Amino acid sequence: MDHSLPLPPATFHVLIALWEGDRHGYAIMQDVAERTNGKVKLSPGTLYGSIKRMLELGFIQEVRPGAAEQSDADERRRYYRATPLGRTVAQAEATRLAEVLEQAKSHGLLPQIG
Amino acid sequence: MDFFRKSANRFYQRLLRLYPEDFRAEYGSEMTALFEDRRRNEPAIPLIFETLIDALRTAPKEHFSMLIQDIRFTLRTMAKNPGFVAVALLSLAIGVGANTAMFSFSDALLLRPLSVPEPDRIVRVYTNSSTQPYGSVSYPDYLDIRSHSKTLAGIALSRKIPASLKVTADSQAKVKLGLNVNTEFFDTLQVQAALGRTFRKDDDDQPVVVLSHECWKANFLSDPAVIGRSVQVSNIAFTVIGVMPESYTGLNRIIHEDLYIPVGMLPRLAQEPSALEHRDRRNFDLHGRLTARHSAEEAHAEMATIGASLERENPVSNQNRSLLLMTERKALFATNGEGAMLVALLLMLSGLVLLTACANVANLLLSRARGRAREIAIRLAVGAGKARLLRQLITESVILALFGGAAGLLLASFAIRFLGSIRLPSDLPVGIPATLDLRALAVSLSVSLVSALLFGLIPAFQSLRSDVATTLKAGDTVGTSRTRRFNLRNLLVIGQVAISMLLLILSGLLIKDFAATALHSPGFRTDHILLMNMSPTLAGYDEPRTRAFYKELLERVRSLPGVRSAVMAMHVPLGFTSTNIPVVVEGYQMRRDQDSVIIDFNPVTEGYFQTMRLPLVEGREFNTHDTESSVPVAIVNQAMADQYWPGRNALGGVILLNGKRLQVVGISRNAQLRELSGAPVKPFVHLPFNQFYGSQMTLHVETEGESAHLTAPVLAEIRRLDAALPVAEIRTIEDFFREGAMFFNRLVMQLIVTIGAMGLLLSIIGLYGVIAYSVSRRTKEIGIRMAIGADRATVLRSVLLEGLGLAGFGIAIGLLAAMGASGVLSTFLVHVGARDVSVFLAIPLLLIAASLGATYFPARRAAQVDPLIALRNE
Repeated sequence: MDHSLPLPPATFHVLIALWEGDRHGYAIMQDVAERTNGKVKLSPGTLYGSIKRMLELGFIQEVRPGAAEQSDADERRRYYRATPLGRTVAQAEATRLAEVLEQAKSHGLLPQIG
Repeated sequence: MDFFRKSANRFYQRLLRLYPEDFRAEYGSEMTALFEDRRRNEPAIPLIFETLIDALRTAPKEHFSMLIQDIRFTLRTMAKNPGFVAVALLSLAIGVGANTAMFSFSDALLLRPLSVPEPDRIVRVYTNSSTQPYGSVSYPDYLDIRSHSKTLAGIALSRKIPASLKVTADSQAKVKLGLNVNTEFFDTLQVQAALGRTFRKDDDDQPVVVLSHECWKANFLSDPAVIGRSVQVSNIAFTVIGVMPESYTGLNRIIHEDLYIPVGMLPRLAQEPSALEHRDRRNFDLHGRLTARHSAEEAHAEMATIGASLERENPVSNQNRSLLLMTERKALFATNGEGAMLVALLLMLSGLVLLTACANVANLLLSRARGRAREIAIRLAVGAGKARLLRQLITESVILALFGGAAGLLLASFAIRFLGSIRLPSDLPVGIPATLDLRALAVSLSVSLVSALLFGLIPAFQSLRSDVATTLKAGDTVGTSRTRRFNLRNLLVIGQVAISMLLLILSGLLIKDFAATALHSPGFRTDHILLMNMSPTLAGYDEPRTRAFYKELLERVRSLPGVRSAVMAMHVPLGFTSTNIPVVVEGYQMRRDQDSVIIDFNPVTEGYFQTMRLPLVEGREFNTHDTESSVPVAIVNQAMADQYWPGRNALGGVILLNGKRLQVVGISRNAQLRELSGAPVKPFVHLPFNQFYGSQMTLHVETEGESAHLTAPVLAEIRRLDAALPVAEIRTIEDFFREGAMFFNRLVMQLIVTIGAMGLLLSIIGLYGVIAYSVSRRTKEIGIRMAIGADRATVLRSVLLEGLGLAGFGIAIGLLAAMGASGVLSTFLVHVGARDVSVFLAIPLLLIAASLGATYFPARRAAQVDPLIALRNE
């Protein structure tokens, strides 16, 4: 798994967006934009390029929409879910980033936030 | 609003087309849905802008990642089929290698532009007449052309001149090739000296010399302090003022001069004060550079006008002569018909080898495509786009071609190194400058890619054309239709055999001819003669001193033990030098626009015909009574007698030459004195040296034993007479004939035989492949036939016949093609006819034997099929 790290930022963001539940493409885009206060905007090309590669790597899978989502069903939309492998990879990436951050902090690289 | 929505959607659909087909099929509708969602929530203009940028940024990425996938897939498949890859790469390497090498060779001979800036703007100017098209220009004519021409920015005038070079006072002088040039020579060509400078206007009659890079390296050990040094050139003190860069290789692609000397020095070097004053001595080459404003057509028209006024103003010297201007490139082809034909022939033949190689690879791919038909059908059935599959197949071909091309380049570099190492057996700076340069690289790359298309597309289209349902139903046995004798694979093999038949017949003709040439006498003796060339002028001798020197030398050499006879002649028969001269035959009616005929001649001393075993059919040899004060005489050859004294006896006839009336006192038997070729012998005149002076002569010493043994004693006699006199081209006539006179024939033969051998190898591989494949597909059928009683011999025979059938078709087609094509060889054939029966019989037999060999192994395998195993495997 180590060779998949570091994850490309777009991939990591998609995995975060799928952490709490299945989403379709537009929902992923909106989630990422909201979480980052609009600082990170995944463009459709980048999003679907990442989705394609993540499907190939087995990080995510396509799922049937749940009952809740079926109401606004547009049959063109597909829903994605993080696989166990995807979740492990995301956690590993988070840990890696945290360690990097820790080192940066201990060297005084970071201004004290809050 | 609805209108806006629709056009925005249409816009997005268009954008999606930028993505690869697969990607679009997978995510297109989803992305459209996403776009519609955003359109509802976001302002229109920024959204459209953003979307556009996004598509332009990410679509190429998707294409690239797909390409990487295809390449990975291809490399994996290749690794799984090493046999397939090895044969394909070997075939391609031979095809690409042969073509790259042939191109480099042709490039060196003919195609490469001059090594000067803007070579396309260089033109040649010729004196044109019906007897001598593309003739050189006289110095006075050059001066007039230069002062009248407005279309030429400059004119580079040059003339080859033998020169001796003595680097230090106590060193031995060496014979070099000099080039007399005008002072604007290098400015016109726009090349600068690498060291020092080139000529200035006031250098014209000064003893200054510019060295070629090669000469500087060889004779001055690349010493940068050479500028300003004093050296002896042809016994005159010269100052070295410059060294040319290595990149400048001269105006002649094959002969590279060593020294550049101002033309104003010619009268002193040639010991002839009036050397530059004769309007009828046309021995200067003119290269012009077009001005930026004028085209070659305009310059041509202008030169015609200048030529006409020269003819008007100089009726004696310039009658029936015009000026002709053409681009340097065109001139090269116009004046070098034989070279151009050879180049065309070689490129055509190596092109055929490439076709054979491509047919091999196409056949391999086809047989694999059959095996993969199921895989492809399944991929098509589950919805893979045809474009995507085609792309995959083309990627495979291109990768194969690139690997094959790389291997071919390696092969070509060996071949080119060999070609570059060929030296004419001459002291002249002559060589074929074949190099593996960027041009050759570009050629081999494009040849590889063209072959990828050739061999890749046919199998690709064939597999895509296949009908999914039938392919899947038919299982593995698809496409074994034995009924179709002329399926694509068989056609390819027939074509290969036909091509190698053609190549082999051409090779066979050349080999037979070469062998015959080596055995036949060209009409004069080619043994027991020692040759040495010298030019006393280079040591400062004038005519009387030179004559006295030669006379004394001949007497001394004749008295050496082991010497039968010794004579001098200006040219060695079949040598690299020759001279011709305008001749008028008294009583012969010439065409109206003709005032003379141009005939090759050779001044010789008495006893020459006897020494060279060049018999006279009539009349007498030159003797000591033919002197400067006696009646001028000449000996013509049989061809000349027949052509100019038809129905009369040439003996006693008169020819006008150099303003003198010469009486024909002898007729010599026709011999191939100028070229070894199948063409009829041309008119030739021998003149007595006593009546026709030339400084540079070759000593011919006839010896009793091995002539090489007399080299030292003869050389010692020359040294005793003058220790400083440079002697060059020392070799026996055996060596000279074998390596020099036959040089061109040998080179052509070697090249074509190599090409032929490669063609044969490739088509044998091809035939073997097809038969082996056919046997492996028919294992079951053979098993059944054997189960119902066919014996092994029958099976063996049927497979052999299948192979021979294919080969037979190819041989027949190749024979017809060879009968049509062998005529182009007639220029290169001396003794053998272009349709030599024995070659046309022997080569098909050879090819049948080779085909039998290629078919035998698969046939034996077929005959060893065990019916039980074959049927059980189904």
